[in-house]
Amino acid sequence: MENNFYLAWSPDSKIQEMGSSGGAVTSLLKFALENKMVDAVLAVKKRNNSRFDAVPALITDPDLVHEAAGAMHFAPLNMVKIIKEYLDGAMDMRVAVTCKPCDARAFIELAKRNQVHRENLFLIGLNCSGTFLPTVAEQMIREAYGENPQDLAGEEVDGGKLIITLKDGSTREKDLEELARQGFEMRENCLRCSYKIPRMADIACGKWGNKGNAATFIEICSSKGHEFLEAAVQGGALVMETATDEQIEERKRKETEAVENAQAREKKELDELKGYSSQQRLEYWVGHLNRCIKCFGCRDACPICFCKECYLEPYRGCIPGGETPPDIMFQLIRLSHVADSCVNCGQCQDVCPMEIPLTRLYNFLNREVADIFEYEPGVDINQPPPLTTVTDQELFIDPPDIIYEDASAR
Amino acid sequence: MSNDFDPKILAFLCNWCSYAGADLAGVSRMQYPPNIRVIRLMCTGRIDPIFIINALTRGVDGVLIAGCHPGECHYGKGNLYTRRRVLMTKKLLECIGIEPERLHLAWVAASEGPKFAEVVKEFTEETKNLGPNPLATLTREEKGK
Amino acid sequence: MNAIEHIPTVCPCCGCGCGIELVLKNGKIAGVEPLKSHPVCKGKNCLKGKNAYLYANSEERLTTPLIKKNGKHEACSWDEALDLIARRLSEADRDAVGFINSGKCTNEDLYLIQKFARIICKTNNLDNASRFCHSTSVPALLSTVGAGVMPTSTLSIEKADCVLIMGANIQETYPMIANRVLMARTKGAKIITADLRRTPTVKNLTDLHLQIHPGADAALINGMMKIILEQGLADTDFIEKRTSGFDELKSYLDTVDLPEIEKITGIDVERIKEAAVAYANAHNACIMFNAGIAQHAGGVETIQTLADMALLTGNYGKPGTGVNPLRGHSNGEGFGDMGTVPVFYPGFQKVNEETAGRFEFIWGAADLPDKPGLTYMEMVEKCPFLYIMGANPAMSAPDLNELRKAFEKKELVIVQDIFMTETAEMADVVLAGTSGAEKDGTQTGVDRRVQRLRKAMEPVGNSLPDWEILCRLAEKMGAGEHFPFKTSEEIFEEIRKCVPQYRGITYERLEQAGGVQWPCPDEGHPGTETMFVEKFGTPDGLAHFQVAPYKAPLEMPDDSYPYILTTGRVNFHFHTGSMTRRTERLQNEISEAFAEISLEDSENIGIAGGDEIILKSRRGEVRTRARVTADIKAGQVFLPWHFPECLANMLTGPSAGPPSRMPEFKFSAINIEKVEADGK
Repeated sequence: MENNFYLAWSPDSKIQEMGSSGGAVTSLLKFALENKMVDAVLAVKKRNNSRFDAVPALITDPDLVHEAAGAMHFAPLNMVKIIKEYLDGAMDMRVAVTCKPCDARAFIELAKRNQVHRENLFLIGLNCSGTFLPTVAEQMIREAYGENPQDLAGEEVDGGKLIITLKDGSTREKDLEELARQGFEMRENCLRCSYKIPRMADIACGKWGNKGNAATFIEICSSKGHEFLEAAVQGGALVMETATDEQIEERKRKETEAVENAQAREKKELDELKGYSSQQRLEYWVGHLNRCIKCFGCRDACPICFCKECYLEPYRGCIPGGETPPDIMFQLIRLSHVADSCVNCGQCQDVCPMEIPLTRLYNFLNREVADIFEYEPGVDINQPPPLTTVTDQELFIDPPDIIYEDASAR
Repeated sequence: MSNDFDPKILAFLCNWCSYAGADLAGVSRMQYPPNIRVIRLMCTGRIDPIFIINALTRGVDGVLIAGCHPGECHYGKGNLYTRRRVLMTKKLLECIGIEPERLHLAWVAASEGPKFAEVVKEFTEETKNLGPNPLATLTREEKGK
Repeated sequence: MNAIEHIPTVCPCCGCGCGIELVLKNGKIAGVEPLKSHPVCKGKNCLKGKNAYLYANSEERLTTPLIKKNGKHEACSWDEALDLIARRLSEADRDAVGFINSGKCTNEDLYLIQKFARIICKTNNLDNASRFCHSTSVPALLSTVGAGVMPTSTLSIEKADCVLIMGANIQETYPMIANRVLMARTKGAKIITADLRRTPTVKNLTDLHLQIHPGADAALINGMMKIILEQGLADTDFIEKRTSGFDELKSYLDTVDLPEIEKITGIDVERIKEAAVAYANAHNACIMFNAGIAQHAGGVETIQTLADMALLTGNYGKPGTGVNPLRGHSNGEGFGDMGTVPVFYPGFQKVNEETAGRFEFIWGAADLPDKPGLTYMEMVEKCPFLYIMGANPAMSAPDLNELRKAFEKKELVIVQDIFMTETAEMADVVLAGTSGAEKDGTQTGVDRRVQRLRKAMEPVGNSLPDWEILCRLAEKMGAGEHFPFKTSEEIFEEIRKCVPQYRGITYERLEQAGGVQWPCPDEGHPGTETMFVEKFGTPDGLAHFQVAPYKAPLEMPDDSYPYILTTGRVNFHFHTGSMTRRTERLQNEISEAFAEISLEDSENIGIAGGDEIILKSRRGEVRTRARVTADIKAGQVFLPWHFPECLANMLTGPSAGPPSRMPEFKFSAINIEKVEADGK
């Protein structure tokens, strides 16, 4: 396997039907389990056959892998938390995880901090054009599309449109902007996310570039990815064909379009925030943060937060217990702790009962920090976190307000 | 702004360089504004950004950190961490809506008595011009209303 | 190999009914996550919800039945305990037994306890702590709109363009309802809050705060109605088509004097006008209220004025409108539906000969009681035998000194609970029940939402689900044929037969997150989001205006007891704290009681924040720490009632007469004393 770009599908017609785009991922997972290349698979399963109700599934039986088939845009789960919190960071088991780019980035960040064992994880990255919250999506299908949410069989984002497939095979499509005008938007973090293809995982899988064929376009991103795919092909579980230049171009084109949209949206948002005066910005944030009811949802959901003895707990003596809203340091400690490593996964804002736009704040700071330190969270496992790393060159850089030799104060 | 505003400034000084430098300024009878309250640490690398942010939420008008010059830290690279953290903290303050100029990092060696006085004078002037800490005013209003 | 399972169920705390997922690792509860697909909570939980059911694994769990021998509780077998109870209850006179139950139990548990009381003990002596919170709401709303339930759905609150919050601190006590109010506000709704304190709800969610004098709410609303009529803002079309009794109300409102209202409420007439006009001008105006309104002697009148004002402006029968009581317990609506009250059989069928006859037929029983039974405090006073399931009167009832004396004289006190609560300490027999994580069942949240509870772990020790205990006891008392149930689903099937509002609901339909809202008359019916769209629940289908003048509280402050005490809840604890005070994260936040005292009073008395003080009333006294704040007015004191070391209800006391018999928790006269340095 010399190239990195392939189209892949399962030779098994049953799996082809159940999975998305030829069932390549399903087949690969099944093969990996059967041949003990991993101890378990962590994927997403529908509950009660609903496309809005997803639950993480830890699968150890290869014959049950097909239950987790299909990409779900209306059920963005917190995959990283399962590994980090409930499975001891994959310390004593090898797990294959299907993950969105933000999940993959969070795994990389945690791996840098020794909170998950990267060697034990086989990350199957899934391309992502954005997700909707399940309750928003259900209402959207009902009100904007005029269809019964129970009839939903599939959904796809393509070229600025949301295309839904109903159980009878028919499709409906609507412009994302039109939906936004009606009050139905993707999660805020998705709108500004430039990571549509998870190249930081072991393989990146998706539909872009498959030119409508029932096949998954796979980009191999690591030697572990090579290893697994090679084995699967040898074992007859996967058919792979080198991607043509046309297909690669198509994929690139779609990615570029989506990334440009996201970057434009992010720029608009950041410009707006930067356009406020200092006092306006303070009142804006304090006004939002004062609604906090100290549910700890943000901290519990954040894939990056991992301290066993958290600063925010009252017994630490930092944030007095029993106050609603808690001292503003609660929010500012969270902010300063994730400043360099926020991967814009949006889980914090999803769980906030008081609808505080947390990702807006964390992303705002993270973009500034990323710029100063030339650090992108969650992309390169060999890039050390900026606030706990110093280089020898810095011993020879004198000014207190820069760390790079060849740049003026940023 | 009519400046009878007297800013309160918290100064973190490292034991080996800046604190000694401040001492030198003192015994040399150098005049500098009395607005600083000093906390001595063994190294500025001990400063968690939270200390800075906490001070500013408690009502302090400015935070001054003075450490050894790069390459001269008693512990090797402590001050390099400080520099990075201050860069981040300034951005955090700016994002939140507190003027990043309220945080200032300077390198002051043990022999640099005059420099210490100068740094304090300049920073006090700057903080005076910025005015009272807006976050403290906001929180005070909330509690008293 | 590790196994991870996610069990969707419902939070056991407040009535919002938020979906949660219990995460099981290798069969044990390892964590709690919000349920992302749940329509009410939308994947969000408050701190109580995030720690739901963790108390189920507390070491303090009752793991075996206990019998008190020589003043000490000793472990025994189920047979021993139940045999003893069966024997004693069989000897009891009709109506000598009182059944105090709880909105913490499932519908199945509650259905069985009322069946037990009625078939075996032949009594309607059934009541629970809703006597202490919504016993005023029910008669008030029955007399006006014919049903004491929340007419809108939680989700529809967002559609309101004006929300009036009366006597409720929703940001701390019903966070997901606060979320909906927040969403409404983001869309431009005006939020008006009437509360004597400046709570977080006032500071963060409110546009117009009416800092009203405690207990004066009926005066406020009558004043607002007068202004609405004067300004010509009443919905005459609605009044004509859907109501009766308007003329009497109008005559009464003509006599209302606004300067007098200003004096009673302590609010400027201009502000009252602003509120009235905003409410009346809205397309969909929503009123929500809770204990701050209901727990007064004049609660019935106040709630009637709220209903009157909604009817006056046509704010009923549309999503996001109505007068919405917020029920405290997770199954606070369900207990009413199950008829565990002295005046209704299941399904709100009034206790009388006809209903008794109907149930004799349904249940195949004979001689069912057809006269209304005793209420909570009446049972505490008069019934020599008490069967208490999931309730904690030793903390939640008023006038606790009297209650303790009464308990000492009882023939037999049976307490069925999951912890050794303050009430269980006083019991002769203690039966170990299971939490909602150890049994299947259903519970019904504030907006009539019936939801499934799912079993996530095996009963701890030798504990049993409430419904199973009742079945076993019934068997021992010779009535096993009426209690043949092996699963909670079997019980639910019978509930469907008796409670017309539940007829169309099945366990299968309850598989979907968010359950089904009753009334649901048949299996094809999707459930009812908004009530009273066509008709009201009254016999003639019309709403009836009631003339409800302001009634002063029962115990006004005087020279010996010059301060007004009001009680309430805080964000981090739930009710008597039996669950939350055994949950580490919540207990870490607040573990000690406190009393909110105003800045002026603290200066006058000479106390600072953190000082120990004694609060005294005619009935008792408590010691606590002062929390000095600008958020409460001079002359008023706020005390949360979660803490057994500082029992707010030692101080509270007088109760209203029929029909509510509501104790006036929110208004007692007290005195504050400083504790000197030497502890005196």
